[in-house]
Amino acid sequence: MNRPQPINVDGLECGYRGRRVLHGIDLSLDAGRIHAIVGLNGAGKTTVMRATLGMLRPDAGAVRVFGHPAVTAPARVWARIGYLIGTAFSYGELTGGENIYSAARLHGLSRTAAREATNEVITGFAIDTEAGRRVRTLSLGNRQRVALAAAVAHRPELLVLDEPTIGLDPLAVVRLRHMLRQLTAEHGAAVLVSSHHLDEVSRIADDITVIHRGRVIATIDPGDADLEKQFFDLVYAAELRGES
Amino acid sequence: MTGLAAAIGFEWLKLRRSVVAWTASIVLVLVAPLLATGLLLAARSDSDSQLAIKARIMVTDTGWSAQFAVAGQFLSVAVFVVVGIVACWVFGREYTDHAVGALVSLPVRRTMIASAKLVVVAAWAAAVCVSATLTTVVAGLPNGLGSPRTHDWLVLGKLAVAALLTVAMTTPLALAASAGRGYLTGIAVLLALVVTTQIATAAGLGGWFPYAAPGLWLGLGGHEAATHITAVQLLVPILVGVAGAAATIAWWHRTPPPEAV
Repeated sequence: MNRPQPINVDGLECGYRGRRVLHGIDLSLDAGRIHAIVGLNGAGKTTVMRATLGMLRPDAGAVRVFGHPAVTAPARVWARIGYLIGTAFSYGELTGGENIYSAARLHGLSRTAAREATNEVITGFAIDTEAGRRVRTLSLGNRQRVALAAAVAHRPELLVLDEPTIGLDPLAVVRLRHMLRQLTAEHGAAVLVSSHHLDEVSRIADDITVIHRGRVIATIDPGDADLEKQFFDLVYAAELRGES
Repeated sequence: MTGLAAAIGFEWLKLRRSVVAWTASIVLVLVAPLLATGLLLAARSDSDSQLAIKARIMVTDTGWSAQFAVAGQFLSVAVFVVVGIVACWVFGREYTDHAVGALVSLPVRRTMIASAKLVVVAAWAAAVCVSATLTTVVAGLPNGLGSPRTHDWLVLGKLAVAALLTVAMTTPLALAASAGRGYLTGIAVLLALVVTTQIATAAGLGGWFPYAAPGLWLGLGGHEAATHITAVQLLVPILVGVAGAAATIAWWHRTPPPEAV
């Protein structure tokens, strides 16, 4: 029997305050792979991610995580998932370490396991200093590193990251890339990531889906030359076809 | 139950680190009992000042009973306002900070998170009310009131019970902060309830208006009004508390976070 895919999106349509945002999105993600969603601002990348996390009820189509409809997935499914969307898990009055520990506890780890996991990711992200300081005193980049560490502390089998490199310095970006590779290659995790940075995407992704005005307009092979030119050619062609 | 324990631990940690909770604790444990003591001193003085005249109206007993009753009158108002603000903050802060995304898509259900918030607010408020009761005793020691009599301890017990009844009635504010998606909505409802309580009391409905009953029982409306408060009227605040808690949990169960709208 085949194991259910971490994410399977079929004909997803979603609206927001009477406005249709997604038009028949199809997307799937296999274990052990990094799937990137790229697109301009407002293309619908974050909406797709929210739908995969059960935060949005589809108007039409289906979103399944590990074989379960995302909006009704049981607790044991969410214990296998980590995510970073918007300001998720960044409580200013708590220290970096407390934020990470709390996220691990809320994802089902025991106190001992959460403490061990917290220490592990603090080392992995090299945030020893930040872990002891209240998050409200940290820079945007360091806050992002803490939030990323909180998203992965419970070692999820599926990781959903919306613009994870915002505010990160080049060294932190390299560490994130290494961590994602380790999660997928060594632990078989699946990663869904959105980004504006095509160069960054080409370095980490196994699959790239281009979304424009709420539609999937193409998939790109990360190995292809000049990803940026391909991306803009696709967007320009979609605009000419009037896909809006 | 592991999820509930994790949620309670998380909510307790946030409350311990919040400026709101620490300020609220200081106001209830220190400021209210000390103000009551000051008012009692004013009432016992020979002064004809406005404060002294008003204080004498509030003091309907003597000795320790007067100390406890006046402190209770202060606390019955202060507990509702201060615990209410903390409840609004606990339930509304994630919405106000646009951070409610941290509380969804978790193995810990949203009903457990709401329950944990209720438990933490109730436990903190109960601890603060007990501490405020003890502070009231300590604050009365310099007044040379002698040894408390049995009647005095009964008044102190009434003070503690009235404070806890008032705590129970803050659960509708948790619902308001949740449904209003931010603590300011809850605080607006709190202020509306304070004003409504004044109007209801002035209109003679006080005993049957749950937000007025504990204060009237402690003598906030004078000795005459206090003797007319019945046990049934004091049960109504408990019903309000239970209904508010149930409605808050139901709201967190049924309503998706703002991202899902």
